[in-house]
Amino acid sequence: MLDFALYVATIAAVYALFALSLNLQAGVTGLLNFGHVAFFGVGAYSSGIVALHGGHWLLGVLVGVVVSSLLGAVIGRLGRTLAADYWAIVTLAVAECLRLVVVNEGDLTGGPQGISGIAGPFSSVSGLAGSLSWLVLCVVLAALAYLVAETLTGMQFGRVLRLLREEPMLAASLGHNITAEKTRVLAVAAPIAAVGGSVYTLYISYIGPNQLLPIETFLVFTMLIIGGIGNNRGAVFGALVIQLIYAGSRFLKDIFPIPDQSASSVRLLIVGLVLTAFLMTRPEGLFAEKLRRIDVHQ
Amino acid sequence: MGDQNPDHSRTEAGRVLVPILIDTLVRTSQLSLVAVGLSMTWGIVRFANVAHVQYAPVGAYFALVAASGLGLGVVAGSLVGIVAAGVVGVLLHLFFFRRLSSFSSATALIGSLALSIVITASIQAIAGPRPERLPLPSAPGIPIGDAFVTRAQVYVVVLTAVIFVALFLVLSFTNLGRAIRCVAANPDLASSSGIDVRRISTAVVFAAAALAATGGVFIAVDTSMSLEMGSTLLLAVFAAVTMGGIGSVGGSLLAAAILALAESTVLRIDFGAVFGSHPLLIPISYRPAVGFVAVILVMLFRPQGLFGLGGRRA
Amino acid sequence: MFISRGVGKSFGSVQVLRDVELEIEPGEIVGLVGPNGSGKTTLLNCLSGFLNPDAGTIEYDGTRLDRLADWQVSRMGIRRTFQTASQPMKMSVLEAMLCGAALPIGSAPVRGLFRRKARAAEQAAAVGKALELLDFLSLSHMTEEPAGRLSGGQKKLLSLGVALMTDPKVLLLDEPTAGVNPTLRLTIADRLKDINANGTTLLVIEHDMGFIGRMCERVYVLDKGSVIAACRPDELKDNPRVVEAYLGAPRPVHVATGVSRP
Ligand SMILES: Nc1ncnc2c1ncn2[C@@H]1O[C@H](COP(=O)(O)OP(=O)(O)OP(=O)(O)O)[C@@H](O)[C@H]1O
Ligand SMILES: [Mg+2]
Repeated sequence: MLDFALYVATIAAVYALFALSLNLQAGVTGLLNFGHVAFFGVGAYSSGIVALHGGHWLLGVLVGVVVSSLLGAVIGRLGRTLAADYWAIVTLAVAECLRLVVVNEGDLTGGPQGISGIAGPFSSVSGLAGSLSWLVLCVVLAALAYLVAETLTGMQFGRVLRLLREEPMLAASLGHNITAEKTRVLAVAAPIAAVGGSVYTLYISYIGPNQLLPIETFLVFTMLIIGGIGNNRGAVFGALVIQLIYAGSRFLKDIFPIPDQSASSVRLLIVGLVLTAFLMTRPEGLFAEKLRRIDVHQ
Repeated sequence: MGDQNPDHSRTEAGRVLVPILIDTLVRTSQLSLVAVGLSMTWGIVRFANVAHVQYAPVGAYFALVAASGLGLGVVAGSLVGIVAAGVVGVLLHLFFFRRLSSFSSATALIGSLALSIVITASIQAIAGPRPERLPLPSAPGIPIGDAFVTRAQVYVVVLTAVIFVALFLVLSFTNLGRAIRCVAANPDLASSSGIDVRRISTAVVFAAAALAATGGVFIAVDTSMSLEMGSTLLLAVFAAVTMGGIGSVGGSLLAAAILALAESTVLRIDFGAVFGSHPLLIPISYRPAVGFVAVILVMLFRPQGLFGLGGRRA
Repeated sequence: MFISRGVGKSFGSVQVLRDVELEIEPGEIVGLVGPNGSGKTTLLNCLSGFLNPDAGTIEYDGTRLDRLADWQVSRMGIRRTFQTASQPMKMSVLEAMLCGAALPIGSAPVRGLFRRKARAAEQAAAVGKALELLDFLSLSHMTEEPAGRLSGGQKKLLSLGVALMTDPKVLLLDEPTAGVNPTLRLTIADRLKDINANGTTLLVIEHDMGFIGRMCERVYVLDKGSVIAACRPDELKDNPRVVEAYLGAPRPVHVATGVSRP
């Protein structure tokens, strides 16, 4: 039971990384990235592939950060010519291409079976100490990511992103290069998700193509909508809530007679319905984005 | 090049071309039916409705329930399934998407993503994850040269042709059709010129969902139905719609044909021979990549459509 | 020196601007008037890089502007406001003002993240300037309100303030006083004169001839996309082409009487 609680908390912290990264894109800048899972995938597979070749886990994390940042910059650059909904579809297509490559290039990625037995930082630490170390690491990473995201959102960089989300023409008239800003925010947000992907892979020591399905992106959007899109605190809170729903649904089948094979779909259904309900009744989420006060007397 | 053995080369060509042709025609039918509805509604709802492709599995599973569960048989069951999917589409439009669109188109876009997941999860929870087949009697294939075409495939292609001719006639020569085209092109202008935009939109949404469901039933008739039917269609359908030009029926059909042809030929081209090296065939599992890559290229370079038949809304 | 030569712009088959010649000396206040739909906003869009003209050239101090992007023109010190001043809903007035400032450290994600002190100092200076400007525009009591919730006239003032955050060399203003009450209109006129006295060149689109008469040394009149007159404001009423453009028929009517739009 304690192990399970630690596991849930650790995964929630990892998901907070994804949510904070997507919030910088979708919440702060208004870029609906339907292929967000690609950044997670780049981080996860960088760690997996580096581990497969006997590299140190830190190298895997580093590769993931660099590659995802480049991928983010490329995707952000595409936003130059695309309307918002076209961009969303294109990002989805990019993520699906990535997944297809992962499934088919078995020599590199392990194919449909994925890569297992990946050694992480606490592989030698076993039992409760190991679980606790993981939890501390993930919570520290999530806290760091929160600090970074919150600082970025509050300073001029994020202010301009928020302006171009609401009033792109005004932003352009003030000398802000919209394409460059979109490219930069993606290049900065992507590594946050990639670190999440790496840590996740090292933690469960496995990565497979089924973790790159569009459903993962959808889960992160659900976290943002529940928590309050545009609000970093909301993103973290949403990650926690979704993780709790997921954990709670495990106990659902102790109460209701749900066959094992449909347990995962019931869980998805619950999450989907929660999201739908929020969209219909409270689209601004539990913590709505607030005005940012600026300290005048510094 | 010498034509020493014309007879041999003819059968050789037939051996490659006939399956490609059959493949392309069947795939065109399925893609175009799903795409044309999205194309017609996009101008009206004004956001990329990702959930549109889910009407295909919804229609197919409803048809399955009606055909075997209610014992209506495949033909009547399919009709019931298609109409039911159309009704679902209308209800969602009236009570879900309208409300979300009133907040923002971003909310509606996220909502359509949520809806696709809910639909997939519901199907999985109710019908289970295994693919299902419609209760069709197994009929022997009709041989064409070395290839076979099934009776079902013939029906699918012929019926799609009939549907598109009917659609074309309705849109071109009836008052309803004119009103629909007007609404799809510019809802504001249409409402100011006295067209009941709400009624017309509802009609279009019904038709769009029903057409997508027809596509889904045709896929099920040809092969089988599964949970992933919607998500595997998604990007190919969006590619077809943007290529054809939003709002253009003919464009969607043409674009679907091009995509289908690309899907069935790309995998059969020996790129090794083209570049003069070892045989190098793209593995069959990369088939979906055609749609993925097409959607990226089209949206980037020809967002207004390939043929200039339709227009991209502002 | 701001020069446009032979500027033309069409939307589809409709030619909205044809052969527009314009010259603005440094330090001038120039008016741009014309009936509704005569192409004033379109011309301003061309001058500010929001539209690229189909024909002709636009130059500022020897630099060609007509192929530059909107943000590049803005960074050259040529700023504009919009006819409908929209402002962000989820930002306070003060934050909206800061968006107009150039804060190189705060704008760089990585550098800004690590140089907290320098970032704060840079921002504090901008905040000081913003508060001064808000005071100057009589908006200091609204500092913490959502910018998007201001009244139409207040948004006009705020847009002006945001544009002024970097001390632009040229300001292109699209109807800065439309929807503003008459007393505030006088204030804006005074403010613009102050701004001009500090060395900013102004091009002002206006329908209010009284305002134009009070403010401008010279005025261009646009009709159906062509410049039909370039003269002193008080010469307008004696120009038969201007009278015809406004009233449609060659009748001797005084146009420059300070009648404002309802
Ligand atoms: N993006 C566009 N596409 C098509 N036509 C346009 C576009 N922008 C402007 N026009 C047309 O150009 C003409 C001139 O418009 P413009 O906005 O420049 O007029 P204006 O002089 O600013 O009018 P007002 O005094 O009412 O603001 C109008 O007929 C308008 O319909
Ligand atoms: Mg105008």
